[in-house]
Amino acid sequence: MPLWVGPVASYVAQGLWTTLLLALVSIVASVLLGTVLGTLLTLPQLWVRAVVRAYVEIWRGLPIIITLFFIFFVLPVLGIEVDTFLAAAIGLALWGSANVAEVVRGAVQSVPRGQSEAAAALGFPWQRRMRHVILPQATRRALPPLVGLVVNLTQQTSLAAVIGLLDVLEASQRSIERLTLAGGETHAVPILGAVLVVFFVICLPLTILSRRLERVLQ
Amino acid sequence: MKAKLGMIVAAAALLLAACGGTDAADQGKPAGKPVDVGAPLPANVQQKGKLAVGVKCDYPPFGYIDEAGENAGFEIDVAHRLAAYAFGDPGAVELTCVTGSNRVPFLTTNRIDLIMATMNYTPERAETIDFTSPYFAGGVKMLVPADSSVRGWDDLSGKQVITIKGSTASLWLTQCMPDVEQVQFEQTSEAVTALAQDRAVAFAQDDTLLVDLASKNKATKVVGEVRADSPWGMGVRKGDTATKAWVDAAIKKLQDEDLFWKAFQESVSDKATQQQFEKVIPRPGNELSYPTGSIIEC
Amino acid sequence: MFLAQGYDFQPGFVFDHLPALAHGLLRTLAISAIGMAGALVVGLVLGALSALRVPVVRQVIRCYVEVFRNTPLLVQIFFLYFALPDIGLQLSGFTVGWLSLLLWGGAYTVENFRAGFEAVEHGYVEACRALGFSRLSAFRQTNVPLGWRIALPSVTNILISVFKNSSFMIAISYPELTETAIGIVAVSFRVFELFAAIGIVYLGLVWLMSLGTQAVERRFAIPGGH
Repeated sequence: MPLWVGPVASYVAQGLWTTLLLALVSIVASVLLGTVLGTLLTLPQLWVRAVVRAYVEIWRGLPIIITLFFIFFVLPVLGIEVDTFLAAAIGLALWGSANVAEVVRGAVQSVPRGQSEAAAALGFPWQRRMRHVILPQATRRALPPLVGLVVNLTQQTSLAAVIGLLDVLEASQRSIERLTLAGGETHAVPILGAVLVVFFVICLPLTILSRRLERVLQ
Repeated sequence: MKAKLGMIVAAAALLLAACGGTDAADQGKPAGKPVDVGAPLPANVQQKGKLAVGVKCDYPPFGYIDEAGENAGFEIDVAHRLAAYAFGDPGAVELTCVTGSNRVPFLTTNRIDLIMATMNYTPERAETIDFTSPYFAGGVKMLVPADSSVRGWDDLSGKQVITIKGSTASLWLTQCMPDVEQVQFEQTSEAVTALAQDRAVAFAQDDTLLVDLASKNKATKVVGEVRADSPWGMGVRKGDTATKAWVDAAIKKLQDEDLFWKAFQESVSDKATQQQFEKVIPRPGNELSYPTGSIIEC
Repeated sequence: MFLAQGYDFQPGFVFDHLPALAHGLLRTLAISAIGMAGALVVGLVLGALSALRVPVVRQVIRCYVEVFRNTPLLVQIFFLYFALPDIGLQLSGFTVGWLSLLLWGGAYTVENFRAGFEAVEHGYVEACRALGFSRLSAFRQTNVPLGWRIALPSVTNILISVFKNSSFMIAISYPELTETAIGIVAVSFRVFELFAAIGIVYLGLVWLMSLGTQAVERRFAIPGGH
């Protein structure tokens, strides 16, 4: 193995750890918050729907890079200080939760109204209607796109490199930086290629899972 | 259920022990004592327990990442010495990688308390931040392929030139040669790679960095008369007089003990380069000062 | 204002840099438009080939789709610009801009169109075949016209994402809108005004695009559902 591989591999492995942690935190936050918001979007009260709709449109409509820069550089100006990892997690969770909210809303609303009405006719109150009739069916419909979102979020963590978080992409870039400045070959192809392979290996099983879920649950 | 709880508690205890373990290992180092530099350490820095400094990570030999993944370079050395003065412990420093384009926003948003990132003094930058006493000086030149026909700045007219966002070279070109199309990158390696790929005719940047790059890459050379020559200063937030006073005093102390020269010699091993830059290192009897008026002379 | 550290808030600042920002916006629109159009065409053609189950072609398309959907767009962009020249292929910033968006968007639209074509009720296809049309002809007459309408909502979603992802070009310092703003921040340090301004521009354009796609979806919706 060439000399340069060892230090680069261990440095990039450190970054990979950060990437996985960031992905985990963002996914959990997005799913929890997004499910709540998505359910709120199905409520009859107009003002609730309007507020949540505004949230969803803003954080889905903004490019994530802008969101990250805003949280990282602008929040401190307003007096709120966050470290890099937290800023990245918040930015990704805002985008993720907005998208999960849409998926959940779509899934809940795609359950035929007849189901809800029949349950109501049988005397089920709203909460029990949701728990026993709507949510199980909605979950089945939401699962494939949700897994797709998880894959997406995992990949979007690489954007945290633009605010300097030492994730797998930033680590590989700094390694390429170091090698370039030391005046030899940059080895950009194998290093960036390795990053692509790492993401591929992590995401492909999830994508296949999503496809399988789609077939099984339809 | 009880067994599961027991396992979780055991795991948590192990984790805590591991974390605690590393602290114990650090405390094995003999802690020195803070050095009185002649001005008090600012309260916010004292509270933090470490010096939060923004440094370059793509600018050898001043600030870069070494093979072990650690920050290294002349400015990093100076940062450690400042931490030793402040807290008696050279390790009491938090180094954050900054670039020419984000070092000031990092400072103004309190992510760092001091910029030590190859920053030339310009009156325009001095409107947003306060500069400490100077600790180095440099101007800008051009890096070109070894077989390039570019000799001077006028040869760049109407062509594409690579610069780093927010750098002095970029400011100079914007003001003095607006017909030059600047291809602006964030990192030195991107600029170097782009030059190697002939995406522009030259890379305009600080002469100190270009000299280092050219020495490691024989396919390039440094050309051009030096422009925008000005001292480098550390940066503090505007109005942060306490930090400025302390850093100024610390710089004076380092100068009097000739520690800048010592650190420079450790970072730059080549004797010829050392001689070339000796006159811009603060040494006993060698004072640096900021010029009055604009740095950007066209 | 309520801003901390005496940040000198100047809303008018953005207008001083309007020419540079306008140029940046034009570049954003240029690479987005080409990327979106390209992704649309790629999706239709490769999606059809995929749905037709053409033997070897289908696996190749599948590979393309999986590679570009399971790796981050940001890394794809870096690779296209900085790594490809090492094996002899050097692309300009502009080319990498629209090409990366086209390849990424195309991977998603291929899947969406394929799913749409395959979702067409088989009864229509059978009727067509019964009338004597060849497999290819039946596909062209039934799956295509009906299928693309089924796929429309998810496709327009991806196309809007392509537009937003044009901001990723800061990776290669291509001076589109976000990159231009960052460059201005680098010398002026006015983070709030600049990011707020381009945030509003992006939101506004995304909103306009959503209105447009909703109108298109309404116009081309299959009556009575599929």
